Amino acid sequence: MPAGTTYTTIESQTLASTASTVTFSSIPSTYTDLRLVCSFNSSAYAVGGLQFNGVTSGYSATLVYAPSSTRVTGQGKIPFQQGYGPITEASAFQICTVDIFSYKSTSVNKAVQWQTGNPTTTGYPGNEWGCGLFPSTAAITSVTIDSGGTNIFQSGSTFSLYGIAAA
Amino acid sequence: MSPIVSTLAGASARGYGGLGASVASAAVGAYESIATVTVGASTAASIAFTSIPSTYQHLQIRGILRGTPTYPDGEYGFVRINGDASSIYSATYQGGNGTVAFSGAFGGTTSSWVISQIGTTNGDLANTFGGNIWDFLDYKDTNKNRTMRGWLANGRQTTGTAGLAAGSYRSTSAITSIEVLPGGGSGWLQYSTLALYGIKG
Repeated sequence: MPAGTTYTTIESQTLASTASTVTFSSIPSTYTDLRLVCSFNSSAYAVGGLQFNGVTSGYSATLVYAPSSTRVTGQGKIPFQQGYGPITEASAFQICTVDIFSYKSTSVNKAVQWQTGNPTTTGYPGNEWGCGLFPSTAAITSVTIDSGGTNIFQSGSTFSLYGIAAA
Repeated sequence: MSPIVSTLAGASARGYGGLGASVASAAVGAYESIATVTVGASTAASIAFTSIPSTYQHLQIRGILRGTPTYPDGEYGFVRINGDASSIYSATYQGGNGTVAFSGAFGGTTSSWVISQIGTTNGDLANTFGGNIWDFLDYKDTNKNRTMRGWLANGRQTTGTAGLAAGSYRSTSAITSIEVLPGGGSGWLQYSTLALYGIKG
């Protein structure tokens, strides 16, 4: 028997001005997974990424962007290497979705998946997906999206956090 | 199935938005939790969802897995539909393991849908699991063969693998059960969890 509808908006942020980072804090523990949906314009190419609970070390990730794949460990964040942009196309936005599994479980390290696409015709176009590890069994209570530089996220960029509750 | 704890509980929500959906469009609930299986202290030979209702347009499974063997790229697995072990499954996949990008295919000779690198293994960092999201499209439409899509990753600390996969089960029968079997070893380890969701059309 189905338990009811889920996939709830926890918080949505739209930038009124430029920003270096965007943070969702005080995330409730009422869900099973988290999903982050971002649509953003960037002023410059940078390697952005994710941080949890304010932790700035110990992340690892595997990135895939045809025809290559890269592995990184001991990172200060889970990095998205495949271009933040578009750089010169003000009305074009890049989409990124991130899934964070079992975010409140104190029995498992935190597994993350993401997919991002940069549609620019100049700069660094590309599509990337990957998986990351936040090697902590602490419940995730905050998520920070790092632009990779100073005020790289541009006005009008949106960031939405959803909660998915399993039966 | 005795080591598996299956729970059904309430969940409140607003709706399913999907990729790029605005907050406003997520006002009507169309994404429902159907059931969850979490492996208990004893290793589970498989994880199964049975008696799947026919009240949705699509199905999605989300969750984390950890197996017992020590394969270089992590544990792989099989998805078997409706208990059907005949050779009418196929799959293609692409991904990367941090060193190379790869792609491949399994022909129509397998007894289930083969999916690679869906779980970590006993040789990995403790408490680390592979994340998975699988979609089963038009699962009850008897005019079509069943099509599946998987987004999988095992996020291992040293050699994580991320991939995308598509699969076909060449039957027009509505899906009423889905079983996820490990590719090797003795089964899925404690805290492995899969949750089944229904998406309305």
